[in-house]
Amino acid sequence: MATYQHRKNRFTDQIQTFADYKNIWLVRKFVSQWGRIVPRYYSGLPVQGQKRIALAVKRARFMALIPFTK
Amino acid sequence: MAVSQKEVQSSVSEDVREYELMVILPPDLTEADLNTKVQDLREALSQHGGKVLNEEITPVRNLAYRIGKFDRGTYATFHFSFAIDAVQELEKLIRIEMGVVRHMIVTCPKNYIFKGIMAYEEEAEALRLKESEEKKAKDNEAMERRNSPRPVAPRPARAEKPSEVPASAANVAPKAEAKVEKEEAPVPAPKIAPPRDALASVPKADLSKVDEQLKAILDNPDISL
Repeated sequence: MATYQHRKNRFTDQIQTFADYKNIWLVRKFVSQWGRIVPRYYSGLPVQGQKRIALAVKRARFMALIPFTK
Repeated sequence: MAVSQKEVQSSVSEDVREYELMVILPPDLTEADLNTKVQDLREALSQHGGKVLNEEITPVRNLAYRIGKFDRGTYATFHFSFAIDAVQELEKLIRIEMGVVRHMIVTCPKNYIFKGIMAYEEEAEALRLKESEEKKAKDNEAMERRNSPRPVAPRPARAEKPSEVPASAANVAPKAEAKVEKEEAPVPAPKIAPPRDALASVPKADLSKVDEQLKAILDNPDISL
């Protein structure tokens, strides 16, 4: 999970154009232990990257790939 | 002729777009039922000039949460091109007639390369393995470094300590002296502490003198502390 100490612009190649909701491994990286989307302050993503990730998380939640809450 | 072909192509590409459909099918279907359902979906996607480009059907998986009465399901994903105007109809068809647990149609971004859930999972597993191996190698290296004998540098010989220093005298004397010097004159106090031998040799009679001086300073109304 992304934390303040680890905030870096990582996974740039996975979210260059879009973040895939089927990539559960990637989506889980940007979800807190309670299942909430990690804010940009912690994730260290650029604005567009954060938007892509947020969309991917929401799609993955809807398709029951990751839980809404834990 | 070439121009007209181009025009036709461009008009087609405007009307058709790439989409991705993901559905969750009930887990209790027999293999034949599953196949017929997938075939139905394929046929539905082939209407209106649609074309299935890629597809993936996973084995029965656990859902992250219960949907209706199901907590397991089969994920079927189709990457297809479809007429833009007809997508809503397709969505309605899938919702009403296909008997799926859940479905979602999303538009694909430009230059989209299809990759299914299983492919991503395999990739993630490979990454995890690689990471764990790297960590192991790092740990081993650290252990080796810890276990290997350090290069021992020759220690400088210690100076012998003066024996039997009266502790009370050593503690009291230098403090009092320093205070006195500070108060009486602006001469900077010597930064280097006097050696212990010298402290030991301070006679007690001197201390009483110092006490008197101190008291005089404290009683002096001109000096405010």
